[in-house]
Amino acid sequence: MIGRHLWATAALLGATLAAAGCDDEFACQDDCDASVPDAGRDAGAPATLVVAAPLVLVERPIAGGSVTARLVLEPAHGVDAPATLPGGFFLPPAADLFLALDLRSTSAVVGARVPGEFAAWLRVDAVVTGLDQHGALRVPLSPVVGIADGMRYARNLRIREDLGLSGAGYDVRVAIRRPAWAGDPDTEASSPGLVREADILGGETGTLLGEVATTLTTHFTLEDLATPPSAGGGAPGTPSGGATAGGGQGYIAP
Amino acid sequence: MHTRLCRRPIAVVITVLLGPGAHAAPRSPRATALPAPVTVAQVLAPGGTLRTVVTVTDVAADHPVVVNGVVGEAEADAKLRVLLETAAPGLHGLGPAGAPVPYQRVHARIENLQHPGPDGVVEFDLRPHVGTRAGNTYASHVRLPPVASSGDPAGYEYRLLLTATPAPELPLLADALPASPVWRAAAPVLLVDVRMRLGPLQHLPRRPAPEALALAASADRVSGLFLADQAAAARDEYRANLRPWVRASEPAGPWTDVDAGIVAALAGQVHRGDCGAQRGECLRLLEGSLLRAFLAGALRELDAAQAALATAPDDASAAWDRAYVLHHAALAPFHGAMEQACLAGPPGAPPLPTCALLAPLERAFLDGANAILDGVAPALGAARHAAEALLYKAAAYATCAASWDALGAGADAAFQADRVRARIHARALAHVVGAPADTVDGVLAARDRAAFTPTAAARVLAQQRAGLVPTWLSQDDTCDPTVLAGVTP
Repeated sequence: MIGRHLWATAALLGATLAAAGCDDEFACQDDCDASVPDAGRDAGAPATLVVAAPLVLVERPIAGGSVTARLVLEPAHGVDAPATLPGGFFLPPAADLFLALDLRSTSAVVGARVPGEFAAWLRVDAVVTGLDQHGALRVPLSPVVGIADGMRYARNLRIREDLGLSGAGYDVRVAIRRPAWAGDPDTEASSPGLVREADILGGETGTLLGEVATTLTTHFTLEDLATPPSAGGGAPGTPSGGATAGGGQGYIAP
Repeated sequence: MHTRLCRRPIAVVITVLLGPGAHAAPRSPRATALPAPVTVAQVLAPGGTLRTVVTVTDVAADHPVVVNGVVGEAEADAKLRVLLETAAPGLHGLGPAGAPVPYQRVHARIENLQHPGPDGVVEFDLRPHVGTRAGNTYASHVRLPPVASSGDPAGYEYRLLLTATPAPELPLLADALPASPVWRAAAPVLLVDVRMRLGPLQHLPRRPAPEALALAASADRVSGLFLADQAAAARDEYRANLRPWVRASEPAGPWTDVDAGIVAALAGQVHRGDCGAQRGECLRLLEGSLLRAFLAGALRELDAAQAALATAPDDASAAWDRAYVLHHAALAPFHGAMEQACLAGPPGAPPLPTCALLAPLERAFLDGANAILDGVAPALGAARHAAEALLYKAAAYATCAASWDALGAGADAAFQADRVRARIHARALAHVVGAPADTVDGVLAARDRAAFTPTAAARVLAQQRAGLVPTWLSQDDTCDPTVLAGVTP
């Protein structure tokens, strides 16, 4: 049975790679997907960053305490399907980091029915900036699912190739936007247009359904990746912005 | 349950509600206002891992209003809501029990059963909805077919089919749930196939009985541990959480061997320790014996519900709820194979003209719940008969399909595993078919392939059919034994 799972996984992976025009997952060249940026490539430098263990960047309540946000960096993840998403290839060649945001409700409010359920349908975008080079990598985080960590918004990143090694570290800014509403022009597969029911209308302000995006800002260094602080202690960097009184959103960028 | 050996359990609850609202959406003049939500289905599928609750309510003040899947202010008869949630924690990567299942395309097909033809059908995708009370659901206002009619929809009976397909752009991590029907489904997964009326309020069983769900969860752990080569842990789990119940449920009669089969499989003692290559025979024996345990347990709860109706209606209701869960555990392995046979034809197994399990199962338990609430013994007896018949239908189909597979098997190990599967399901029917030991064991117990001929296997099926038709099933509910004649390795 396990063998059947592996076979199915391999078949899925093969189909995915074939669809992306690649013969082998790790043999893809940059032209496998034209949307993968190719800036900053340095053939003489190490191909990947070393991530000793998952590095928790932020672990805080947001949205007035109704949701717990956990932003973490991990080694790049393999993915079965699909490989190509809005914003580019999910597993680009030489991906070296996996940026993941877990959003779990803390109580049965604002559309949640049970504490701990995943806050779905949101639109999440990340910007990683190298402080030495002043380059910025902008990517959407897509909903992903796996056994170990369940559902998260996440994406593989090519920090080494796209931004280069930054001795001063990197700033990370993650913006969480409300779902697209039904009838909006900017719906997408992972946010296809929600309908709000009468009993929630007017109560969105200050929640993840509100018009104001919730922003998490933090930073990390190469040393943090090599020797991450203990998990649960929050971010290695200090979230900027701070809680906004009355706004209900833990980290709203100014 | 049927796939307990090859995938993690997932409980899904689907609820469809048409609930009261602020009446901001224009109600069709033909439609009578619904004074209260009508729950038209509450089922566990697929594989018992998700709960689907389907409710119909009066038109509501949504923003924006969606009618038959389209944003707009068209007139609607009611609102259809589907709650799709996990039935146990940690399933499908979705967190706690009761967590909604996002990123699905939920498709509805509604047929007016008094208006066959194109005018009598509407199809559309439900939209994700969010509300304070309802949470995250899939819903749409609906104008029921025929949409051009002026007749009150409350006067018609409808068939509602709901399917789910994962969103096409959801990345699955490499460790992600290899066989999850939620995330890996290559074809739409049938959630609900039910008849519904918007008229009289219908009663459903209460929320599934926790003690019965715990038994199903334990059985999954036993299977999972054994599959993972942790036989000692599997035995400990079985002894601690399942064995007393299995022994208490084991039917009296010539083949009281459910517990013995499980113990032998867990010990790897089938055929004096020879489980065959990859332990296939032990796996099949374990899987089949656990299913037999749930079949026996379901029958016992049906007995208990009927016996308690006159004197202790609450006890009858509780037993009926337990029977509902145990039925799902016993039948879950067949939902996929049989329902897909209905939808698209079976992949290499003998077809059944009437292969559906889910819809008649929900109907039987709905009828039984109503009978208990109303205290009507004959109605409960009829519902009990229908529910029991479904267990036998699945066992007979499994015997047929496994015999088919065994006859067509190439390698001997595959043959032995399929033969054991056929045998264990045939044994589940012993008490109704009538002591077929000579036929069944004379054919299905033989590890010699020469003794397992299409003719011999057809004899087993013929004896089953004679015992089940017409008391329990129709001819169309059972395999035609002659189909095995053309099967060759």
